[in-house]
Amino acid sequence: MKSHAIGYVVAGIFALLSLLLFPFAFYQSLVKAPPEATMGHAMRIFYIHFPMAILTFTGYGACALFSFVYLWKRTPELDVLAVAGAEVGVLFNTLVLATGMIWAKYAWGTWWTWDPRLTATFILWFLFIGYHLLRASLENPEVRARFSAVLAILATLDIPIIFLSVRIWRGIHPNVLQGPNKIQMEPAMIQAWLTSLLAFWIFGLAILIFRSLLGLQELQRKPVP
Amino acid sequence: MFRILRILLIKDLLMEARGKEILVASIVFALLFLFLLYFALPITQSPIESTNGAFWVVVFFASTLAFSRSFAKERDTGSLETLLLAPVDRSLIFISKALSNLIFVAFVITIALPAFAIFYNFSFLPVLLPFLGIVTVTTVGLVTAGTFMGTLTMQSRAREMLLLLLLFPLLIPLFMGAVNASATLLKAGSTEEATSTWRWIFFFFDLFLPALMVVLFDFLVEE
Repeated sequence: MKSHAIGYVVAGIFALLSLLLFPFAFYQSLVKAPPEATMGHAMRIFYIHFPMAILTFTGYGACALFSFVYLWKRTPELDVLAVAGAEVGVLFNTLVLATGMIWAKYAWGTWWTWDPRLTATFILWFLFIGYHLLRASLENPEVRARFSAVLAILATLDIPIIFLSVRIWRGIHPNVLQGPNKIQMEPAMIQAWLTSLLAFWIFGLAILIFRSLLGLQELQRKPVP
Repeated sequence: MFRILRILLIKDLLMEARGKEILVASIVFALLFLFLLYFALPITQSPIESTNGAFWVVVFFASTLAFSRSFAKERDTGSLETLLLAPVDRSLIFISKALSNLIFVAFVITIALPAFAIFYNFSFLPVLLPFLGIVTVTTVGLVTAGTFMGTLTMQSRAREMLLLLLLFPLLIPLFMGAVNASATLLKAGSTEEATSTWRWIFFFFDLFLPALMVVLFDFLVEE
């Protein structure tokens, strides 16, 4: 039986690093960064919301990448890595929707609006929930891997079109990085934003690696006769 | 190549014709849905938008009855293996099935559209040709993706349900394009205005995605 010692060491280091970074990130975002001019303390959820969005795309990106390579190389390990990506993606997709809704209730006075980015994120959630449901309904591991890889590729190519179609409506989601609605961030806020992003991202990567290792071990386990 | 496609298409249409109760069921389903939606929508306040929206919901839902059976019958009777043994390009098998599904959906729309005109007082006649154009480009995209997803879910338990869950999120841009383009057309009456913003969506679902699906179909039927 192959051991995945190196993988566990890497994941462990990532997990430890994020544990060390979290107190610093929370201090930065909850204490040191000033409240935002119009939204006050409610804006602080952004320091969690943004990393969740990035992790959603990291997970789905991993799923798409490994699915593509799976159809080419056909090794079951790649399928396991793709599932890990999709699972972590759905987890953070749910969290990005949840944190966004909490913030929206405060900033816009409503839990949900059919803003382009919100709509697109919600559609993404449906697509990858569908991915897991398809997997759950197929018994043969080879068929399951092949079919779900095809679905992942289709879903990934559909994402830009989803974003394009929902953007044709005018949105109210703030674009924090560019454009006229850019949030004016003080240096302390930028520092809080980046440290949170780093802490959460490393934490998410650790989860992703742990989940992949779990899948790989399951793969090696001999089927019960 | 066209001879093979014709033979395959005759086979698919013959299968549809032998199970014509499904076609009847789809049409009745469309009428029933039309009936239900009338009570759910503010028809009196915004007649054109509501009717147009109801029409597209009916078309999308009624068509899925066809898609879930795309290759289900072949698979259940074991004739799929025989079909795949035939020395034909597999993309032709997909294209033929999509064409037969297209004819099926065309039947449903042919019944649904006059029904909407009668029961909802849906006045699409002044812009009949451009409206039918939007219906055609949408149906082609819908049917190709539907046939593909029908193949993807053919081996699953509860395939009808799963098909809906996989197909509709994928088709949301197409649905939005169809609803908005036809609503603009019906209100403004100009084709240019109706198609300018949504043209790219139709290109994607009528050209790019079908081409990709023909390629990916090989991965679904390798045995």
